[in-house]
Amino acid sequence: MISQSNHEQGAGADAATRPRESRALGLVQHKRPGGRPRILIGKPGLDGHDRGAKYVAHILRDAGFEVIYTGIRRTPEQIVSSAIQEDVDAIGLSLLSGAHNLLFAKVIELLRQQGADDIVVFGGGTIPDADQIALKQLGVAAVFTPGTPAQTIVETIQQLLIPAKCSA
Amino acid sequence: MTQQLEDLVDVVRGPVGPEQVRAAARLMSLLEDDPDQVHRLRRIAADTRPALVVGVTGPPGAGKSTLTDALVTCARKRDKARRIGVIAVDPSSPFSGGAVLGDRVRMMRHATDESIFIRSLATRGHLGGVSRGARGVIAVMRLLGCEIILVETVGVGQSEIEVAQLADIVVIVLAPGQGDGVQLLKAGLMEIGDLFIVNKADRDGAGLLNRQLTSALQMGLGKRATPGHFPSGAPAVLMASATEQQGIDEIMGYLEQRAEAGVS
Repeated sequence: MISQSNHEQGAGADAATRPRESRALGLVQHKRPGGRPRILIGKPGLDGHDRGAKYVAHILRDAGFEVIYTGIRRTPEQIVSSAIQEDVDAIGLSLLSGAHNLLFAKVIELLRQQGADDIVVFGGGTIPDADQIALKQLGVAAVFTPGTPAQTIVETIQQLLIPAKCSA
Repeated sequence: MTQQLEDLVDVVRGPVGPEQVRAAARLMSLLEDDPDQVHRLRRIAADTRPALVVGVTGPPGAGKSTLTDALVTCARKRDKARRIGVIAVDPSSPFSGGAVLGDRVRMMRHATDESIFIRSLATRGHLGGVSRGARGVIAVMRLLGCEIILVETVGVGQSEIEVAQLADIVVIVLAPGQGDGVQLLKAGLMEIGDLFIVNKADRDGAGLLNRQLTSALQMGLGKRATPGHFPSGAPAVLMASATEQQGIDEIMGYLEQRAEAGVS
């Protein structure tokens, strides 16, 4: 599926002939000309099941994003601090521990406190439908549960980062 | 664009705090996306303090990130007041242009330390081991008052030596099992190192690598102008184990000594 989506985006066939430094695939119109969308992926809390997080990091890389992967067992403070230093456009939190309500709220609160609430927050993991509604109300832009196709994840994130929708 | 750059510089020069960090990060992005703007930054911020730029390079898997993390921890302990910058470079995919920047993950214990600023950069197709954005990020880190800036390159082969142009001191990190004495005769990496680290010193072959390196440097195969040597005259080769926290103090001591001797 991943290689198919790359081919559809034109990255496959003419990748070899395109000059390296101008490999803008027209995926996401970044708010800065010459910029690349940057996303931080991390796992807050105590759960160590990182396969999903690594999978999303991988598909986002294949879609042209720069992904800062911060690993497992991070605190919301570590995640937010890293996201700000890296000037990311979005944070993706992977949670399979059940602690999503608490940890998403904490991350969003910290972003707000540090003047960085323009950073889009999305999540992935075993998050029940009822909780997803609450999370969206908190400000989580999207939630991807296990089994969501790669294409859907990439397109949703691309939509979320379209400049018109970003606050200046 | 100019105004935005100037506004950001003003905030970075301002009081320490979340606003300063955010502005610095944004300034870094601006300069990464448009590296030519570095000249403008240097004009309006000519008063920035000097910093010691240390390049950390070596083949993939030698332990550069882990060693950089250990050096940051050590530098922290030796001087709690000093601000430290880290630039970690990883390759962009030649197919998609995207990247997984996975060096910071090894330094996460420093993530909430306000005196340590870590920035991950993708090469964005640039060859040479670093990225076009690195100069801009170094300039912003100087503006922030970083006294030491560690630049960790991608895992390099023999020809990616661009870090030598950016750094005051180049540290080459090697690990046992990556080649023999003949490998060390080859050009490139051997010629830019000020300090050679045999990392993973606890593994088989570390002693042998140390001897081969020392012998190669004694034969004059190192840097032409200022060969990497200790004050005693011995070639600058140190054993270390980043994961076991061995040899880190010695490396830091050497870097501080070179800094004091006025490396520029």
